[in-house]
Amino acid sequence: MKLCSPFIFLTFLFFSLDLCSQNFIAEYHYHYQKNNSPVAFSKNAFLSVNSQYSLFEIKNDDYKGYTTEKLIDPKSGEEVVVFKSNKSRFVYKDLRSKTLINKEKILLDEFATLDSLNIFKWELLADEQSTILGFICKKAKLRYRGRNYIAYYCPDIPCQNGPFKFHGLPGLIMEIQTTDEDLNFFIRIKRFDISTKNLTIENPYVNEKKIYTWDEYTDMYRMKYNEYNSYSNGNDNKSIGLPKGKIEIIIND
Amino acid sequence: MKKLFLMFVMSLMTAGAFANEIIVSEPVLEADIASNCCRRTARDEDGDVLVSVTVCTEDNRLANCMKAEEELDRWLRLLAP
Repeated sequence: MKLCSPFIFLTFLFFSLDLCSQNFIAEYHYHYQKNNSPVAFSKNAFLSVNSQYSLFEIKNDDYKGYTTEKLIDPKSGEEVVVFKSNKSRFVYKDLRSKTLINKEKILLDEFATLDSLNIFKWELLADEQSTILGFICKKAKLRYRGRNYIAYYCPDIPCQNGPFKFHGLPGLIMEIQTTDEDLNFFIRIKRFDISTKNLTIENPYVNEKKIYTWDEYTDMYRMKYNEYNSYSNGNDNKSIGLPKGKIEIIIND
Repeated sequence: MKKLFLMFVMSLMTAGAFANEIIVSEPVLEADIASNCCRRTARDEDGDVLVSVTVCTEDNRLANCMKAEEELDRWLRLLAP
């Protein structure tokens, strides 16, 4: 009697590739700054992973409500008001259903949005490598929702996970950055700790009233983009505008 | 000098109108009062522009800045969740 048919073995192998054999927590430095903006969002972030779930958390102060900060744009000399939400940000991944939930924004409104983990079409560049935190890492390229990225992943940490939404490389993503000129966006690992204890990961979106799909969110974004941009066409020198996207470009020319 | 002080006080008052907590940076720079038009911009914490208002209707730059800040305040109240 055969113990295991080749089909069952291959199926098991396929599904186990995405499951990390050990729990771990990785600390990253997250940086986002549009090149025409005097404001940078630069924070520490933590990726917690167990065999079923992962949570990428960008720590913030978690005050209730918004706060404002005034600064002078050094390029224009103009006063700028920065409207801060002060909320922590989470990307929650369910590795079994290959889905994630993230809070997407339209101006200041937030929408918990369900997305797939099967959206990354990586190109592996196995010949190029770098050493990060003592691990030998390999390079990969990605074209994802309107932007180009390069990433370094670690095959010695066989977990197809990474910071923010990024996922699907044959090893933990240690570093990723866009090569686009309009945006300085990178996430770099600072620390990696294997956890021998149980690592419980709770869904931060469990009490959300509504979870939108990515398509629903982008439909709303396009509608608001057209609506707000119409405010900018008058002669009253007021403009309210949505960008074509942030990390993910939603409005394609 | 009086003008600068007045603008600084007004920027404090305007900021106070829509903030739970306010961190006020440097007051208005000399370069900021070079022309009569006045632009005020609000960005989110990622740096993306939410609203931008430019006012040129008054001869006095200070009055234009007051109008621009009032208008910006109005927009932010509308947008705030």
